[in-house]
Amino acid sequence: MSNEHNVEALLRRTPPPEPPVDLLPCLERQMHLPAPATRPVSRGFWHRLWLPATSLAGAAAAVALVLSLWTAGTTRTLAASVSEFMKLKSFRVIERVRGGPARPVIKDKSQQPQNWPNYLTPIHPDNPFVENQHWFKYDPRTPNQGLTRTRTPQTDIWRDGNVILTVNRATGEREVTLDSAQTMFAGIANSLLGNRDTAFREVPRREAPDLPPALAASVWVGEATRTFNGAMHICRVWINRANDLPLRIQWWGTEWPEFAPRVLLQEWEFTDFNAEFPTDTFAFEVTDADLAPLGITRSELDKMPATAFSVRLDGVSGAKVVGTVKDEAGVRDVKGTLPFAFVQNPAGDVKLDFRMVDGKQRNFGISVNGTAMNTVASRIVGTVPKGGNASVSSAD
Amino acid sequence: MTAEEQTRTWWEQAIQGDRDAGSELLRHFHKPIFAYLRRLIGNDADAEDLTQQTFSKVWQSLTRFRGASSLNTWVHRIAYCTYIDWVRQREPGGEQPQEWWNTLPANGPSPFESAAEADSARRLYLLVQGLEPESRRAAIHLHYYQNLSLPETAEVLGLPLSTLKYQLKAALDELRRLLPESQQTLSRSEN
Repeated sequence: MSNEHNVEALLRRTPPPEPPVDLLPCLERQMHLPAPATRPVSRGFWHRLWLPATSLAGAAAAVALVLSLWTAGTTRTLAASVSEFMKLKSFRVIERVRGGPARPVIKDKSQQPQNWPNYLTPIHPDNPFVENQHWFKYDPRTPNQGLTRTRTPQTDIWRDGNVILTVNRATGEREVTLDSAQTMFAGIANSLLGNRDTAFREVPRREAPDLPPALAASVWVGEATRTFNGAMHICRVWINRANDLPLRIQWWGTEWPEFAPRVLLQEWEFTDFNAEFPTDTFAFEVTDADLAPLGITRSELDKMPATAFSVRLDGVSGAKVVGTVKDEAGVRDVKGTLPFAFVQNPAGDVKLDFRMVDGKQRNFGISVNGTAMNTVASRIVGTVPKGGNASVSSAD
Repeated sequence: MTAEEQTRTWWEQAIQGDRDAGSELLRHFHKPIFAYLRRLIGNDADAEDLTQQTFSKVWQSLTRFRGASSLNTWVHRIAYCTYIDWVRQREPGGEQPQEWWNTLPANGPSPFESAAEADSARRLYLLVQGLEPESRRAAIHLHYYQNLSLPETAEVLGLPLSTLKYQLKAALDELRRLLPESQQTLSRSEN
């Protein structure tokens, strides 16, 4: 170590300690981003844009992408598609997405699969497609939410207004939550902003081999690309030329040349426009036993307005929590042992403030009105605007 | 697109609620931030805990980032403040374990040309951990271990650039003075 430069060189060449392999997924679970920014819109606009909070964000993204199409010449504006879509009384979405164990995407062979810039993802060509279905029906009683049903291989999820029932199809386990947020709001606003300036160019028929010849004359196919994490993602849309309604939206990736130049990762197929679905598609019953974890009975639920919502606090099991819920009606004291939940029948905007009794930071989570956060904290605060998505954060 | 431009793009998308962009930010920053805290603290468990606290604060403050500095500097600043809070709160304890040096992959790609050089680096690291005052040690970590530029390091530490340069010069002088054995070891390996 003869001089300062040798010391400097040795410092710079010291390898960094590697994080535990489960740190990144843990951090991703704890991620709590700001609520999506939204542009002022008329109430009427949102009244007819209802998709369930239970649907994967992709369904909302799919619709939002339709909203974002524009320009002229070989590209297409879909303002008419938006207009027609918003008039629908009902429709169904079949969602196909690669699903299974998280598999590696290798961009740097000198790095371990879990190390940047490599990463692990379940949406991988080696995984088969999983099919989920979503049904939607406009309901004038609850125009911001409507009647929805989502069926995945694992769960059945029903929604009527602010009441959501989730049933595990394997075990029969049931969970009820109350959510008064406008169901389409977060998904569509988020995707709309993210894709507002995207130009979709028409795809020649020869480059759309999955388009059946019988449909070729009646369907317009366009696509746009987006570079993400150094790879190109391709969004392809199928639009009915006759009525401008969306028929199919697909996402393709180019990160797996060993499989194909482009690989289909996810698609949504829109169907059954204005169909009269069987009554039992949306019918479900909630019992006193279902509501017991929320601390209310069925008769109490029936008397509550659709603005009521539930709050679930979880984290380290057994930790004691106290807090307050403030709205125009006053201050409500809350205390319990994690995990626990309760229902709030709000008067105007609501402010939430919960803290660990012993003041220690530990795993602490909250789920309320379309928002969920799991973090390491001793205190969590939040707001629930009337009929809107909650905003929560840790406050240590 | 530079790394800074890419992270700015992810940040712009993340503040709109885009979780994919948030995940990209995590993938980009979690390793250097963990490494930074791990070196400072000396054990995996506390480094992991402080990494989680750091990113919790990052998400809380995401909309308050004004772009006056690089995102890399801003995240390191949050990690540094989190570490300082931790140091102030913790009770005096025993010597911190340094098992990281023992768990480096034996046959993996190594930046060191020889075992002797690796040994020198290990001893140098222990000397860095003993540097006082804290800002001097932090300056070495940020500038050399984390590869932040001098202006970025000064910004993270809240120091004037001239003060930082003085701190680094003094730290290097001290390290050079305390490494006579390493000097001999490295000289032999170079011959």
